[in-house]
Amino acid sequence: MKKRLSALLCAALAVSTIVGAMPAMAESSSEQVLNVYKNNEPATLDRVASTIDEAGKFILYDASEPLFRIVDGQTVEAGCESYTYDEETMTYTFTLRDNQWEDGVAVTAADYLYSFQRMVDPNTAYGYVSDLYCIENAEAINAGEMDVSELGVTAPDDKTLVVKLNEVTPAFLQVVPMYPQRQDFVESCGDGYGTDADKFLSCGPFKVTTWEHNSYIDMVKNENYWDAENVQLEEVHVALTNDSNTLYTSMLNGTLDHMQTSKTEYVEEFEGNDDLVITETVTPTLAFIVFNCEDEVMSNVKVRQAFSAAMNRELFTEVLYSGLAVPAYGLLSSANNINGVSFRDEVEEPLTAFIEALEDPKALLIEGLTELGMDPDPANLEVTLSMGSTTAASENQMAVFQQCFQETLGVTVVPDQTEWATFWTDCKAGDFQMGYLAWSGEVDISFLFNLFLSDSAQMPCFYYTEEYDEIVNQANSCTDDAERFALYAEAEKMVIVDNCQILPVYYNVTNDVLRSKVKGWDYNVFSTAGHKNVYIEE
Amino acid sequence: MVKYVAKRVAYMFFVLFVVTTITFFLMHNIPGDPLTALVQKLPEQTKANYYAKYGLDKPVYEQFLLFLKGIFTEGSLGESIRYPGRMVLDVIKKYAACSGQIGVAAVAIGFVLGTMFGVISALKKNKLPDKILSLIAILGVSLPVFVVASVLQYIFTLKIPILPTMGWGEPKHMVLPIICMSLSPLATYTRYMRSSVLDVVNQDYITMAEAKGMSFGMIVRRHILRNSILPSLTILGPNIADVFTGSFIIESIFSIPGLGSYYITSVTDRDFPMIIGSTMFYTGIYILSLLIVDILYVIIDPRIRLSETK
Amino acid sequence: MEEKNLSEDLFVIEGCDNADSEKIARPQTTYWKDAWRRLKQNHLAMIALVILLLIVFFTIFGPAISGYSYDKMSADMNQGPSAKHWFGTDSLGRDLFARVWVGGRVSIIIGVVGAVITTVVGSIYGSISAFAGGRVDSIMMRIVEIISSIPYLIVVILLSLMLDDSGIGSILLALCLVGWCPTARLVRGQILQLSTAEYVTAAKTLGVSNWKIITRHMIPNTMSVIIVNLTFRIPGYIFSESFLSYVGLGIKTPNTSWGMLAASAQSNMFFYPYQLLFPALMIGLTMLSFTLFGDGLRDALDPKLRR
Repeated sequence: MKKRLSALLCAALAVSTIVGAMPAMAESSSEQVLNVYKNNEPATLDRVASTIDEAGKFILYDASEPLFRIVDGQTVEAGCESYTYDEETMTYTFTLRDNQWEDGVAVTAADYLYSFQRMVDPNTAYGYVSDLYCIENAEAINAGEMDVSELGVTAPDDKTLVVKLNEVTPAFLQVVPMYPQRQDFVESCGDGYGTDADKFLSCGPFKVTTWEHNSYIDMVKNENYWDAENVQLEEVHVALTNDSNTLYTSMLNGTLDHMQTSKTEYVEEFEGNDDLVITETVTPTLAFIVFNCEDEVMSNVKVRQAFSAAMNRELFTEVLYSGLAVPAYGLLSSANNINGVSFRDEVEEPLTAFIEALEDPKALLIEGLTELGMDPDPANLEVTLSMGSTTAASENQMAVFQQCFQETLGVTVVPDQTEWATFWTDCKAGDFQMGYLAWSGEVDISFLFNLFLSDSAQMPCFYYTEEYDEIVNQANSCTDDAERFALYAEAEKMVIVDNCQILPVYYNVTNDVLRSKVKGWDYNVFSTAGHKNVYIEE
Repeated sequence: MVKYVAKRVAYMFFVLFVVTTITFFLMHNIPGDPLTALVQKLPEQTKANYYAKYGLDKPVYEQFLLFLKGIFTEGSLGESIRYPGRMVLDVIKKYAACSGQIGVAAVAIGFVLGTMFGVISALKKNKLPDKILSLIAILGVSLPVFVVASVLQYIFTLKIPILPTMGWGEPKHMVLPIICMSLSPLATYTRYMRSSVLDVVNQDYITMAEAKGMSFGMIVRRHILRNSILPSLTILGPNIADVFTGSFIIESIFSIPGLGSYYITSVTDRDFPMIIGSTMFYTGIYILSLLIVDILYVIIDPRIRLSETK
Repeated sequence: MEEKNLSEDLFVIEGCDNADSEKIARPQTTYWKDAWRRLKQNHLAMIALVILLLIVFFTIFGPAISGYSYDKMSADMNQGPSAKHWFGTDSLGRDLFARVWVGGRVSIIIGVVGAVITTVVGSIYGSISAFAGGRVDSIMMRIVEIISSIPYLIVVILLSLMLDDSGIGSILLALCLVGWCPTARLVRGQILQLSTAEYVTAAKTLGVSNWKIITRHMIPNTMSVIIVNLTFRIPGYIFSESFLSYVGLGIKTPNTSWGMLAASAQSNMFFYPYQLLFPALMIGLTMLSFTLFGDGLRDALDPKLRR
């Protein structure tokens, strides 16, 4: 019995090996099939849910049609054919294209209107709902004081959508996600809209055919898409994996056509490969340490500044990223721009001048400690640095932080590394001293600045000033680019130097590794073009 | 027999209830909830609605009663909070099947081969086959599984490209994961079998059987296996249950839509309904497999009685 | 009748100058003494013991021998093994020879101590359960089932909050909390099987006390399974420790362990395989020597092989 069973199992194994041996990856060679990946399972494809994540947005660029897309850094009309803006009444009027849902039903203005209403509805919880407060009545509706029907968005006919603002918002078209959602379909899914291939309706260049959770998502060209004739790819296969060895092997054996990496070893290996093209891009992601300004020690700005000045950013980026990261002395990386002009080209990083003028960070620390009435000897100071990750990479980061602060300031850094939820709960509750975080800027430059506003208070630094609020609000509604730069420069100096709420560490740099036969790739970090314009060169 | 099984099943529900209760209250004591694990800070009203929707605004004991009510009136384990719209029961049903296919195959291969290896190893004690098999067994458990998986992946998808790198749906996707997951059981069963076979080979009844001219194969099957398989069976139960929850690393390397990642991420995401659901599922499988093993004991070794009273 | 006085001096003791001559020639040994004697004769087991002692020696003195500090970063990053750095350096330029041995302190303590504690606790629990039988057995086994089923991750997160410091003690506690359960079931199963054996029945009939039956018959006959269990626990715990760091209860940087060294070498394994090789080798060697030693111990303890 036992022998027979084992023979059977061995046979089964052998058969499956042979089956596997036959068509390993024969299909992908010269056809219009693109193999990409995302490093986590999308929580949902419901664009307005609070749980929407990068992976979900990534799929939606392909499977939905927002009013506008950012292509090669430019905002271009996508779901809307044209629009007008009336400065007097602060009203946008969008005229829609003749687009269809994958089931052939026309996409109407009501579909866009419905998703606007869901975003501000306090029952459906869009994460960055405060971005929409510029729309008439949005804030009151979100607070539960008004009905969603009173929102300043209307659809006078099937092809026209009107949005009335209550304040000047230059970045409106970039900041607010404007994706259509069909009411009858969303409601037919109950709470499950966007959680499965059959609980999602596409109106973009591709439609989702299979979604094997935690494994892969398959999309094929959507023939009902208004611009289908310009879409060349027939299939987009999105693998869901985050194992770096799997990605590496996949790039070498052709399973994937694209990967992003910050690892020097991979880049060096791929550079020798004629089949692969590598492009380096600075992302708008800033890694930083946030100070809890309510903490006894960190409540003193001189103490915070001393830590910020003591940080050896060159060592950090060199040792941990072999130079594939940019040392950060400001809030915004060179990726952040206003109408194509990089912020960093116009504004010096504020911390550079501060550090140059400062003779000895340790002296500043001692000064701060004396002001606090504490033991002025840094050697007796113990500070805790918290991290929401315990991977090998973050262990190394912690080691470098410890060395930097201990060498320059002579203080003892106590590491506190926990899993993310515990860490973040502590941060939000103010139960920490210094916390290591990374936050990505969005297409509009205001995003990172808004984190420090006292009414949103997204950044757990527990120190927000009216002065800062004023400057940022002024900048957000300013329409003159030069003036905006100047205002944001002032705001940046406050966050980084004057108030020193955070200690910037580095700007993330990513390397796109792309198979050379893949053309039409949009490398822009803010791109929402999806794979509409991508094709395989035969 | 029937009475015994009925009794054990009744115990099972008792244990299930206790585990669920303890887990429910423990889980509400770890810091954070599904909302705090999210990066964004939601406006107060939105947050209040969110808590109300999932009953998180009520005292824990009330939430627990509601949860029990949900099970008994609707047969529902609730809805995932991290992945809104996914019903816990559906997720478990679907992904347990994936984990099960790979895991059970891996444990079966490990068990059968391990048993064979163990017997060979014991019968050839301290000779070459024993030494080779012992070394394989030691490598099987002392090499981290992620190393084995990545190396096998590298070899069989790049150097000798006969298997797919990752994915799910066809038999070829299962080959590498099954091999990786069978290593540890293989090693374990080999060593346990070797050890317990050595315990029985010198027993009088073996000598007796030899003396009466029984064939060697017959002795192995009739006497040696029967008397030495008990430790392996004891660990077989939990081993089967573990494949549903313990395959996190393999799942992430090969992109397998299994239950293991839900079991881990539900805790790190504070997805309460999912934690409870997967815990209940695991407990059920665990106890059932123990029961099956206990019944197997009796079939294989009639000297052991099922009755719990002396 | 002539009185005959038989005085003592008429008798001479012939050939009994040794009063002990009636005693059994072989020195009387206890079961355990005998086992030790036989263990010493097993060369493989002794070699294993030497390897183990060497590993322990190096974990104590290795970092000092290396001449480098285990947590000092340097510019020599990702260097292969050389005369300067015997095991090479890691991505921060830290000497791996020093790190492997510092990591060994944690891993050896956790792997070995953890394995021994859980094995002892589990064995005692299992034998009590099996021997008591009936309702006690039933309750004790339900407890095992409950403890094994509660999600480990939750328990560990709660533990990490309660025990604020994460020294080796709390990691051991976390590992031991549930670690004894499988052993308990294993030992219980063995003892249940043994209790029907003829020699146990014989012993009982002869009125041997329960305690003696356990120590003389049950434990020696269960020993082989317990030893295998023990050897498998060691790499198991070494890896579990690196998993614990995932939820924040691991060893804190710059301190390290073999499990963590292996885990951090994972993403670079195709580029710097030596970073993985040495910690993995140490785990394997420890496991190997415990297995060989365990095999020797098993043979030594096996009452059936006793001559």
